[in-house]
Amino acid sequence: MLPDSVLFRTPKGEEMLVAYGHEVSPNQRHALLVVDGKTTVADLEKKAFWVTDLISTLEELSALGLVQDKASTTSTGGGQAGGAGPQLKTQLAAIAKELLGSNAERIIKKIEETDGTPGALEQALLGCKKIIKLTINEELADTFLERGRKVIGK
Amino acid sequence: MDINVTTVLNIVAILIMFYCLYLVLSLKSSIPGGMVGKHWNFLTLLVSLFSIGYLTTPFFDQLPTNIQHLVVSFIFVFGAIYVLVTVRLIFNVIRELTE
Repeated sequence: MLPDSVLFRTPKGEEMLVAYGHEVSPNQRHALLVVDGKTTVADLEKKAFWVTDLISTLEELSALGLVQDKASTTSTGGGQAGGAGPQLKTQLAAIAKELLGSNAERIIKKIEETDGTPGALEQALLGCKKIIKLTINEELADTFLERGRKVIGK
Repeated sequence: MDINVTTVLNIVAILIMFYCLYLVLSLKSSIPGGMVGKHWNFLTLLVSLFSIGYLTTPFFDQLPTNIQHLVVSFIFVFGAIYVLVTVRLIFNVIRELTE
């Protein structure tokens, strides 16, 4: 696993966390929890000191199909249509950052707090559009909504 | 300066206005632009103006009568503008949130 890889939890990984499945060890579960779709493996290794042998554990999770490398998913074109919530959120956060720069923080937070389904993300986009229009930039609000909808396929 | 009801009211008004100034300035960083941000700059200007104006009220009795009337008229005009901007802002926010 490359140090600059960015991992995200697959739908199976999300289910595992919610369902408290016993298929994974406590250490693997801790590793699964720290995967956020934004932080590189190298940074995770520095931050998540409570996870024993993080790199190997992440490789185990990857083999179980619970986490996936963002780059590999993008190159295979997966995740756009069905349920790859964390990846969609990452893409939406990137759009917010690109359009709004340092003012994107609140928008990114709102996206991250949303359930990863396309329906929930669309609702979040509409909410974000209103926040942008009211408090950040009226002109960019519609652009953000339009680009966001394309990402979630709506 | 005699301490009477008018003086106490003036001091209370000054304190409230400076609290408002603190609020508008501290919220400004959270509203960099957009519909609210545009109005917010103008509201900040008005609150600053009121804060300065209110500071002069304890010395009002030392001003000539015609100047006193002029100052009161200015306060009325800017007060009306402030209310207009605030009501329009609330109207626009509600419209945006309910559309």
